[in-house]
Amino acid sequence: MTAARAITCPACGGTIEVRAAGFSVNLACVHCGSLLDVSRPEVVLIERHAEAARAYALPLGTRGVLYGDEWAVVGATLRSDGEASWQEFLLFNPYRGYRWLVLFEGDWQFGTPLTDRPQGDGVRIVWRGEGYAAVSDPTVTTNQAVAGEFYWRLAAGDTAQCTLFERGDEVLSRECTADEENWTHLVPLPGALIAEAFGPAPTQPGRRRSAPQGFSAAGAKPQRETGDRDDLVWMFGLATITAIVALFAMVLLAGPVSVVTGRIQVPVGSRTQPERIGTITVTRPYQFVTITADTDNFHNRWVDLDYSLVDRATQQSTDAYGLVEYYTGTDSDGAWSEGSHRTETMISRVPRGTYDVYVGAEAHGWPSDPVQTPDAWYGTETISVKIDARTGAMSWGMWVTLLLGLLAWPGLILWWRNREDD
Amino acid sequence: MPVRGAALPYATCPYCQTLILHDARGVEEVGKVAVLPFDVSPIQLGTVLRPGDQRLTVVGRVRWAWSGGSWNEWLAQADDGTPCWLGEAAGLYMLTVEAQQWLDLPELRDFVAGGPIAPGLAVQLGARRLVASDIKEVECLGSEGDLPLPTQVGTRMASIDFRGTEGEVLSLQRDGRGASAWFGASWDLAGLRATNLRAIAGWTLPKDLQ
Amino acid sequence: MTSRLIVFALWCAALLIGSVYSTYHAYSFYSDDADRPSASGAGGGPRHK
Repeated sequence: MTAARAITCPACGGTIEVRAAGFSVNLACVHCGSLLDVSRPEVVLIERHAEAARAYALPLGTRGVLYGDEWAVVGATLRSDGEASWQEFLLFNPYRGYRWLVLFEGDWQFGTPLTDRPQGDGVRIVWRGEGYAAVSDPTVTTNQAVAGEFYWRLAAGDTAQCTLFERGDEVLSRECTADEENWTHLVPLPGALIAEAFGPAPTQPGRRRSAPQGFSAAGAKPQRETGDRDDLVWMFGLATITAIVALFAMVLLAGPVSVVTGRIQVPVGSRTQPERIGTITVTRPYQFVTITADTDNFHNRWVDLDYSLVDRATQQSTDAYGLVEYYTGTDSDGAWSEGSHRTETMISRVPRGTYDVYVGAEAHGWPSDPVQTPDAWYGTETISVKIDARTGAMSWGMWVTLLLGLLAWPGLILWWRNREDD
Repeated sequence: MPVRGAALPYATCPYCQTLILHDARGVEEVGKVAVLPFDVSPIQLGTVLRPGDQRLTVVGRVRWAWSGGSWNEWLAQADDGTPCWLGEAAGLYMLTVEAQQWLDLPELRDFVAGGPIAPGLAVQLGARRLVASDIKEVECLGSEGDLPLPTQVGTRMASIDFRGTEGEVLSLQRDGRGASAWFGASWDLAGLRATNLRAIAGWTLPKDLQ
Repeated sequence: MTSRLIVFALWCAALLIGSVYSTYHAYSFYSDDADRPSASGAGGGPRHK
């Protein structure tokens, strides 16, 4: 036999537990906020809502020990007297009945319903031989929101006439509705005790509740929130460490570096024969070879570069290509430019060996090649290209990919949580 | 099916939910009663209560509903056979014994004759003054165990509670067969020194109730 | 330590091993081997409009 009765919300179809089955009359669905009548075997929808459950300082279903007895938080309501608003929680223990927890501006009170009605009315009353003085005139208190289950028909918008009577820090509260008068004895409770009793909030598998607010007023935060946040901090830490370790490993595995540089002159409007720049050596089983082409300034020209790495031992050639282009002009939006005077080409999986680096090139003008005047004074227009070929570079693209893969997971969780908090 | 005390002529068969009347003429099937809806009441058939120097055993239960909810009335029998009703609502208890003499109060004559009772009506029971605080039309939801009255689903009655300043209560009932009066006090489980309570999964029976 | 943190740690380890392995073999998703830009329509003029 379980201690709770499971029902299905007729409004949203969600499964809800009735924790005080047999006692509870009203239940606000935790999923959609709809108000249900659970007093009879058949569940009846009283009022349909589609608002998410409000964040209360104590999550519904949380259990804690106060004054030696275990209590389950079964109901929560947000109340207001027009000036201030506060939260009240209904506690239940099947062997002890109901109690109240009131959270007013960070202070907690524990309330016990009275069966023996105080004597007297108005300003001064007597209860169990002690006098209590009225603190204020009766004020109208409104239930602004209701969540969970109650043993009477409580709905958002319900009002009651409330009067408080004090004796030291003990309070007797009288609440009158049209057909009922209820008395509650309230004593102050340190927030630390609440945190100690209800701090470890329950984890409900497969059901998320947004992080409760206001609990910090009691001096602590529920475990669930901190647990989740900590877990996320760990994830980011782990991702950072992995990224750094990977960076070191990739740099170490990419080296050592062997460099050769040279310069070629490319006449605009024609192509040059492959020219040997120099020799580089791949000393690991495989290395990347990056070839950078850097040109002097030009406008509206492009240079095609054909690279060949020729293995000295086998005369096998590995080919790659580069393109340097730069254009400027003016159109209806104003001046524009496109391209760059520099390009980098990365050749992967170059096996161990010694390579001669050959570069052939072809340069052209845009929109057309300049008219070649074999003028003795100016000569033919050429573009000077500085070539840098080297081994031992690492692939930054691969490292950035790793970084994205590492951060995607915690980042997604963070995004999801922020979205939920809104 | 064991049929207990002759003072309790009605019994609910726990297997087929049939309400049975047994008297001098034999055993007669009265009708079906509903399976009681699940609740987390700590009381069960067989629970023993020791308020003061009495010893009461719970032998039956009726579940009543009103427009605003429902509650249990447990029938507890003293060792000498005196029946008591233990009302259970919102985790609080009311233990009453029959006190028909109060039906003769002039303020209640109208009620006995079938009239209504106004909220706030005060009655004087000896030195105590009690005020009508709870006036309900109730309907039976179901029953279990041995009972002095037939409890088919839908059985209706009027139920009125008068309360005093020290938790004392006068409970009046009126159905088609007539009116009855019950007098007693408010209790909690610890005060009733209840034993043989129902074990409720997920909850620990408090030490003082073991 | 939550179970999803353990799963995440395994994921980190897998990515790390993958990076080290690809670097050892000098493999990259972003290398420029044999894709000639001019052959695929590059070169020969601006493409900004």
